[in-house]
Amino acid sequence: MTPALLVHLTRRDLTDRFSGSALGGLWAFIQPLVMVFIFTVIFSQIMSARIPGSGSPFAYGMYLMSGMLPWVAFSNTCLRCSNLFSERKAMIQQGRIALASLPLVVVASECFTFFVTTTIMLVIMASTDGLPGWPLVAVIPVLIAQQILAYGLGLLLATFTVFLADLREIASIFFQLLFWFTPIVYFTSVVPAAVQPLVMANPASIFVESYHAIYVTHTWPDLMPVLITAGLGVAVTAFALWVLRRLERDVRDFL
Amino acid sequence: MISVQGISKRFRLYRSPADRLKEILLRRPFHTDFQALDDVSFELSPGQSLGVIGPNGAGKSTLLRILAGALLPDRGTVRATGGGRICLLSIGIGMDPNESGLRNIDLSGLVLGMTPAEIAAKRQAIIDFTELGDFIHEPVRSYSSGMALRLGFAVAIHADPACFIIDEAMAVGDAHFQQKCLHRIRAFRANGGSLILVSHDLNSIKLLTDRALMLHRGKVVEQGDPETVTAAYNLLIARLAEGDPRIQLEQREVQRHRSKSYGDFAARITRAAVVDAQTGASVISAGSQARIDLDVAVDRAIPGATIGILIRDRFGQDIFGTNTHHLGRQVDLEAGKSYRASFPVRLDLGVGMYTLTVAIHTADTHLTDCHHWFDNIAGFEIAGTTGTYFIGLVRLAPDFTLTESTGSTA
Repeated sequence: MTPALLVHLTRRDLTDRFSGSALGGLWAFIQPLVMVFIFTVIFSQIMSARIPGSGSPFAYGMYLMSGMLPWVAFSNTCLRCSNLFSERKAMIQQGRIALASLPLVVVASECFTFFVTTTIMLVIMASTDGLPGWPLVAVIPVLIAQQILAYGLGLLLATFTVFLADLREIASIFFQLLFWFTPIVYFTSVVPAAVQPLVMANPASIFVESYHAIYVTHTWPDLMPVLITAGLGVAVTAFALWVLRRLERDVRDFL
Repeated sequence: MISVQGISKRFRLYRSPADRLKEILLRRPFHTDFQALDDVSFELSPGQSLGVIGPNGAGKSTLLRILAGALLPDRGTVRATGGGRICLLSIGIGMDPNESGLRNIDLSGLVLGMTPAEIAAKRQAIIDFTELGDFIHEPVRSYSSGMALRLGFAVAIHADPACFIIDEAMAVGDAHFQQKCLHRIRAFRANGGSLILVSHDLNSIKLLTDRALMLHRGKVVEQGDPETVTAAYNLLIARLAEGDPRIQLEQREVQRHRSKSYGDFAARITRAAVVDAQTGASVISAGSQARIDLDVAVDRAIPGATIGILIRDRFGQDIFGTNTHHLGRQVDLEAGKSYRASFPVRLDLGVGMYTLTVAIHTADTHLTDCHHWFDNIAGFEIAGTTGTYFIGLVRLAPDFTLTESTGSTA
């Protein structure tokens, strides 16, 4: 896939999912923001959740948003890849498109959405509790590490869904469960000790905690979790590419 | 140059795609095999064109999709030396039906490997070539198959491919657009582009290709000049038709309609056919030497019999008829014997479907003494042209002179 084709497909992916709607691409940003708004209202106001040791009424909202936005990017990338090959059937049949390059479009499009929603979040932060400062730069490597993992998982899903369409539904349920096993809505400290290892073994928890460090405590995230995420991502991606190489002939035959 | 070496492709047919996963996990086969291609090899130099023909299911489309890179072969290689794109034009492939024609131009162009600058420079030329007008802004799903074809062809040909593959597509366009495409294809070939054409239309194979190969059950069974290969194809089709239960049913249907076959049956025409003198097939090129054969079984002796033939076109219009009386041949039929009557003839007829009607009678018409008249006993098709090109129903053999006019004519 040429860079020009990647840019073209990404741009269309962003605009076309909402083609025909008056607000168009804005919907890509409205959805996560509304979700954050709902959770903020319910948890911080009604259930009066407070971040331990912080008096700010906005702190919980920031905590929630900082975990939610990367989560949305991560899970959307994986889930939207699941139907990718049959969606792009016309293009695959036309010529020499490398199958492994197709999920890059989803990765790029979700990264773009992430940057826009993050910008909105930063504007809100700047007008309430203040910006994180230099640690903000760390968002880039954390995002890269997380999206490598998302690409690998997405490619695996895309390949296997060709053979088993049920995987899409299974994946969608799995990611809903994973969401609640990730400290996004709640804090790690409130998790019962019995469930704690489960939550911490979840790869999404690892990178979400990095974002929390940046946005909530305004500190540099630990290096180790980022490296673990990236390493896991590279391993999953290598495995996905190996699987695809073994099955590419069948994938193309089944389309 | 395109070099295809020993391509084989076997499709594993599963009842559901999930069976493939079961197969991997349980290590036990869950499929039946279908050998789509078996050791196919050929080469194509720049500027050369190759026709691919074969009955349905012969593996033509599979071959093209492997050439285009959409499918991977089990064995064998496709090598395009000197680089360059291979563009596949096939109905219903490559267009996003929900997108407008204009956006499909951008998308297809990029997929075919054009740069954005190249697309921008050629966009107007592509739109003009499609002649779609304002429809270019409508989604492709609202297009007729002819319109979608125009769009696909326009983009593909403007991508300046090294090799252009056309799969059955031309048949969809109207006459005007076909002409335009043919013109453009000739220019493309003159510039050194290679062409691979798959078609059931033997005319366009003969018209557009230098070489042809025939696939049957995945194998290359004939390769050479288009004339020889299309003749072999006609023969193959005729052989396949003989074993086709549908065809036999139609013949029985004819038997039942006694009204079509009448007479006193002193002699009976048991079988008749119009066949190419060389191949024996009932698909014949215009201008080919052919034979009209009749098998006759005689009950009572008929001295001085007349055997007649009549060719009708698909509208039932008499095209040509004659008999042995007019040909000045003496035919004496003896009781209890069987004969093969044969009319060797060069069929200078226009392309189309025809039927044969035959009769045995005495004197010049069947109105006096009709022994057997059999309407539409057999059919045949004229496909393709040998010799001078012509249009219409018959080939006349006009001469031509050019002299300068003297005096005032206008």
